[in-house]
Amino acid sequence: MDAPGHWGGTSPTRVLEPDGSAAGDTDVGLAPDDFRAMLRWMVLARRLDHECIALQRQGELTVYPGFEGQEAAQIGAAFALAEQDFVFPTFRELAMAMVRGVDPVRYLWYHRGTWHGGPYDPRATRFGPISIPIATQIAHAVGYALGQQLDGTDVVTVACFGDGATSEGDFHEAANMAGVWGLPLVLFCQNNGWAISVPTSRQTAGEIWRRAEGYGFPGVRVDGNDVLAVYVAVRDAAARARAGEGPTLIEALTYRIGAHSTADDASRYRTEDEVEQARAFDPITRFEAWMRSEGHVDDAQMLAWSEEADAFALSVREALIAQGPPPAEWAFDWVYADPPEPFLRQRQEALGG
Amino acid sequence: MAEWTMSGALGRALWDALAGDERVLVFGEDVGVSGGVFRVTAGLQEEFGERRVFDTPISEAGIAGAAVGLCFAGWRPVIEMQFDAFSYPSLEQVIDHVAKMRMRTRGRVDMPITIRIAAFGGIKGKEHHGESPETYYVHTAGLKVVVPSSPLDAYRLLRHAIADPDPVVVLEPKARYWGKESGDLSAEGAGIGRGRVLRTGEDVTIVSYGAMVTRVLEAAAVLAGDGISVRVVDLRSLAPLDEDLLQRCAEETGRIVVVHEAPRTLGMGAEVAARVMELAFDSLEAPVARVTGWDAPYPPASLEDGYLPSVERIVAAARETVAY
Amino acid sequence: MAERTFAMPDLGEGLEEGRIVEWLVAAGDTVALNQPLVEVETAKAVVEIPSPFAGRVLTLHGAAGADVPVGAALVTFEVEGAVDAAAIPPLPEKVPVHPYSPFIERRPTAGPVRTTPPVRQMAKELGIDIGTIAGTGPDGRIVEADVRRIADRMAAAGEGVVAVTLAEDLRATRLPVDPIRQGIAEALTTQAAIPQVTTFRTVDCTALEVLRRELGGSPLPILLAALCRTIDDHPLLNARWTRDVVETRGTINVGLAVDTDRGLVVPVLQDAGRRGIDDLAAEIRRLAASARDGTMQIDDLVPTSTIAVSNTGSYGSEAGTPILAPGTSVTLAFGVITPSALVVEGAVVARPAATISCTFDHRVMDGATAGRALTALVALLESADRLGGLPR
Repeated sequence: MDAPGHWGGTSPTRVLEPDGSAAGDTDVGLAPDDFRAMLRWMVLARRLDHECIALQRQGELTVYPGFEGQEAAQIGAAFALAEQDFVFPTFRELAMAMVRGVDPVRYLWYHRGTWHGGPYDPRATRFGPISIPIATQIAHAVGYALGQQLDGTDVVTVACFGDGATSEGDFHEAANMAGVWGLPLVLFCQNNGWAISVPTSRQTAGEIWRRAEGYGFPGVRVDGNDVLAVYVAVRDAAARARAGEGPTLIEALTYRIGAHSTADDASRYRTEDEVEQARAFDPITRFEAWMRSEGHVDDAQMLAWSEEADAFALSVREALIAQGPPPAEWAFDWVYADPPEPFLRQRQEALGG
Repeated sequence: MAEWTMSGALGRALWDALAGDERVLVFGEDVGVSGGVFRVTAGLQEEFGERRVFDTPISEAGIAGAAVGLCFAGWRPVIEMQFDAFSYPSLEQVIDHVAKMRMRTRGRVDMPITIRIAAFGGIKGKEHHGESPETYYVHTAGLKVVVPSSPLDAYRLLRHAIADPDPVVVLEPKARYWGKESGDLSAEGAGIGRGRVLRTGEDVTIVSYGAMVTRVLEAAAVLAGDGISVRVVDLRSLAPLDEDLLQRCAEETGRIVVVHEAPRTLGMGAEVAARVMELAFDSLEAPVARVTGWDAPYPPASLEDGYLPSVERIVAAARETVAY
Repeated sequence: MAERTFAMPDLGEGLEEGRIVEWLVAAGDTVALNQPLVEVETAKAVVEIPSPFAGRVLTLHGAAGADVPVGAALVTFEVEGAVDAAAIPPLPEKVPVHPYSPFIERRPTAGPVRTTPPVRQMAKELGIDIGTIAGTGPDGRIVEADVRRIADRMAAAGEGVVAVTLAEDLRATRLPVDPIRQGIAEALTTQAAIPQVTTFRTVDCTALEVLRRELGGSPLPILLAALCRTIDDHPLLNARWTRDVVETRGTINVGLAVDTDRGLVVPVLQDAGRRGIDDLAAEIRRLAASARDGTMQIDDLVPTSTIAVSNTGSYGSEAGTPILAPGTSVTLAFGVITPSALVVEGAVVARPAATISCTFDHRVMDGATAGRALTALVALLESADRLGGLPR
């Protein structure tokens, strides 16, 4: 079975082969409990992703961007970070958010149309607001990393983005600044092959990881569906950053199994064959196979997680549906720290106070 | 009593802010080693070091975006956009994030960013060096926008802007950078959201801001010769507008003329006229008049004088308004 | 158990409908949460909609191929739990109101008002509809003095007279006093100061009755047509007194006294002189009906007439001595047509007859002028030939 087209060119680093056999040294410094935690999160995340799509079809969520197929990239990266590290996500990082400690119900307020940005506390969770304008969050990560550098902390900042974002000016401006200033930053690109309907080959003619050389720092290409390989790549990049050696660009090759969002019909621009082919590289199947071969999980464990995932999805559903619209004053209450008088008059007018 | 240029007064405001709060950072293009193309940041890097005052790559979006991230890390960035038209690459960051991030984080992350922009025309500049971008910023909820018209007030407004917990765009009129004013610099006095009356009068109020304030004062002197008593208002703060002052002037003089360099359509004159109508319609003895730049791109240096509101145009509009 | 209706969700962003491709369940089926219900095609994609409830399907709304609007019922389920009943707030009731002002100088519908905001505000504070004031400033602009003029007239008219403003009236939902009654009372009190005299004539209505029967309906349109013809020769019937001149009017507008539940209302029949009998009849019916059901427009009430007609015969009176309404110089009252003993060619015969009374402003004309005009009107009404020549 061939890998997705955008995986061509330079071979990505791997710990596990797509069939779950070891590609190299699987001693990545993690204990069996860590492996189990990773796999459990991957199972829970995928189940929740499916529930969110159902909730959108039932009118309970606004447009929802699924992440099926990208669980290894997100969860592997999340496991590689220290508690103090800070992630600036895109709008497709629910799996990473959960592992970083963001309450999924709070996160999904965003897609329920309850609140913009980060309904959760970005400072407390070390997870930035959901960012819709492509690549803009990379510049925020640069600023945050600069702030850490100025303060002399050991905090590593991670900027998440996709293949499409590398075409934006903000990616270039941010990466360039990060290189010039040698910032403690990990530029983490999940290349899932598609930017809505445009394939990576129409997005950029080169390999994304190679851009790093032009900015004066290292780039790596990793199999993004290999949770252990992603873990290693991010761990190493974070270590470089923490040691004051500057930024790293990671291109994690993965695949967007679902449509861009529930408002998108992927059959308009790609074949079902392509998707089926990509499923052969499924990150959960791969990791589960290795875990079983190593004796870290068995049928009973997998069944238990599957049942836990159903209960988890149901609990998120119930908590979300119970969430009515927020009070009308929320539309005004946080716009300014020091709200001007004319603004307060409008607020009063709107609220009928 | 010391004499200050606006460039010098703004520089002093940055100096005092850097000295007074160690979380204040000053960065942008050419603000460090060279001290800024209009000399506003001259001497700051020498005094406060490369950590607090530094040059960036030519990356307006990156500068604004980095300022957002710095706020997450508890810093208080003062960024410079070297020229009005060069601020446009940063508009996505400013509109999508600088202005909205506090709301997007439900008040958990303030954005105390000061965006200094060398703005407006009147210096016989190259193209893209004479634009009036205020409407873009004023129209963006979450931002505050101020425009100083004199050195002492420039100092005060910039100090207030840096101290403000919300993002403030400071549009510095290039044509007034070298204008002088004598007095002691002080942050005390009217802050953001308050305009000021620079000349009292009863027959008509002429409202303006930035470099046009000087011309309005000249026009008021001419009109005084006709026996027309002109009140001159310097708005200072475009967002928020000083509604109380506008209302009071409309009620007391019944006639309002607005003067600005920006094109007429959706310029501040439109907003001033609308507010005055909403707040004091029944006091208006004449339609609100607008003396503005034209709805055409800012022209080359040799045509600049025909574009900017002249003393003659201001005087004519005021006469017509009074005679209505 | 309770019924729950699942509405077509917006499956994209701002979509308006979805087309049912295929139902995956049937009425009566028991379904699990998230079990596929139906395949729906939208402008963006074909999607499978999972069930939002666990329960029994009661009704599928719409067959395959049907377009179901977003928000419309798609499936009704029977599920555990209660149903919220949404209360529909009642529409606010509209109460018709009836503007009346003795001081209207101008029709508010005559075009936009030119004035400045302070003058508008002054009028508003005085309770005067700015649209009813005639402006004397530059370009017809209403100036402060114009508002003062109306205010002075109101003050002179005394307590209780309100120049009811159009805008306020149309919005009002309650009237503390009956403005028509009040307006009538105050106006009549003011009008009593005008020197007014009434003269009477009896008319042989034989020819009139013949024509009336031929045309059907009330004799009033015929009387009005005859009056207009008479005014051509006796213009002082259609005139008004001003301080310096007696002004004969170029247009014959006739006030019609209409008895309503709320009292006497005098709508104006515009340009009666140019209308035929049928047209007059239609207009009289319209004005009377709208006066009685309270749907009269302000245009019908603007006092542009100097002559008014009261059909006192319609309620059985033989003759009346009406008081002139404000601005009116002549009011004719037609008594009831009854068989009377008349002397015709020396013999007493029974003929249909009526009494016409003419009340007039003595400043405009004296008794002889009025008498001659009334005689001319009577002669016309008694002539079958001349009645037949009136425009139909």
